[in-house]
Amino acid sequence: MSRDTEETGLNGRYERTTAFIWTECAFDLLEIGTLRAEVEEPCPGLRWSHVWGPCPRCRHPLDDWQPLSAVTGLVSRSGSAEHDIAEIESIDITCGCGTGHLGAPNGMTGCGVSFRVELEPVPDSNASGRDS
Amino acid sequence: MDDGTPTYRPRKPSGPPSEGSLAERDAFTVLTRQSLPEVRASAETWRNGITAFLTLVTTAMIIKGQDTIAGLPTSWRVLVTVLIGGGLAFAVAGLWRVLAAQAGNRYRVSTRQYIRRKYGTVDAYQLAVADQAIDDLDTGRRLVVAALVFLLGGIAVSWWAPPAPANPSSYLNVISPTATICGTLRSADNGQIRLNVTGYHDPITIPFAQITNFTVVSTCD
Repeated sequence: MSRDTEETGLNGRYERTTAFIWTECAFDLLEIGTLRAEVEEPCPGLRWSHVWGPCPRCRHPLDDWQPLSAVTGLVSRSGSAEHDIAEIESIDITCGCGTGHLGAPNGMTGCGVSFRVELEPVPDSNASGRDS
Repeated sequence: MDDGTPTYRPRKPSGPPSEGSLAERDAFTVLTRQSLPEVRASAETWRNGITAFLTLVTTAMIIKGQDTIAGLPTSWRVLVTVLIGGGLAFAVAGLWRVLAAQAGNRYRVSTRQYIRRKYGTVDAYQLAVADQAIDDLDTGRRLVVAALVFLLGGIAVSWWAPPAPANPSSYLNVISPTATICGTLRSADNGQIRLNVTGYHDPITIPFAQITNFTVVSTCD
């Protein structure tokens, strides 16, 4: 499958797909900095992923926030996220570009693609502000 | 954002998302959104339970009350007062924190830009509030445990403390031509009176014939 914008279509049809090519395409966009992704920690122990930039399939802009922490009642405090060490975060994103696509179910926006972004911590790194 | 967050870099995934992983993601999002209501519901339950505990203990103290404490020696009375007073202080502080966990505190108006800048999303903000509520709830529970220990300690001490020594209600001040002697009455028979006097091991004996006057006094000072 080509990654050509013309073929995938800026206004491409809705298609519910998790084809690996879109994960690969997202990685390429991340490598060149067109698509951005980071893990944010507004409070100690509370982590969120933030991925923003063009959708790898429809190329419409998306802005995806996902929780990486939740409050649970069954985990002791010592085992909570606050004490977790940084590890690889695997984030599954479904296009939420907000644009209606041809063939999409009623009321649904986005082109239907789901792709994966993986982020690994840079060793011995400290926080740096978002520079976008 | 806060310092201390590690920097992440992208790496190439080994596979695409599956239907299962997408469902897991959605379930986790729902779990996150339920965090605050669940913590507040838990805090409400804890508040009710803690209030019941404290009501039971304080009611017992009120029923036993002053009569029990008043009969204690001073040092034991001070100990019981410290334990019960400290327990009540801990109880108030603990209930305050649990109430804060349930109802929230430090309300203020925040702009959408502030929440976006500080937390990223409203869900993240609510999760932060839930995290704060957990801290309040944990602190409140610890304080109430300390309160119960103090209160139960106070009750136990009041049960087991020795009774205060019986003090004579009055002293006898005896005046004779040779001396004035003040002490507690030991006996008065065989034509003489014997007084226990502070500083003397043996009772002091005074014949009736030498007594010119005697009065009952509240203190020998």
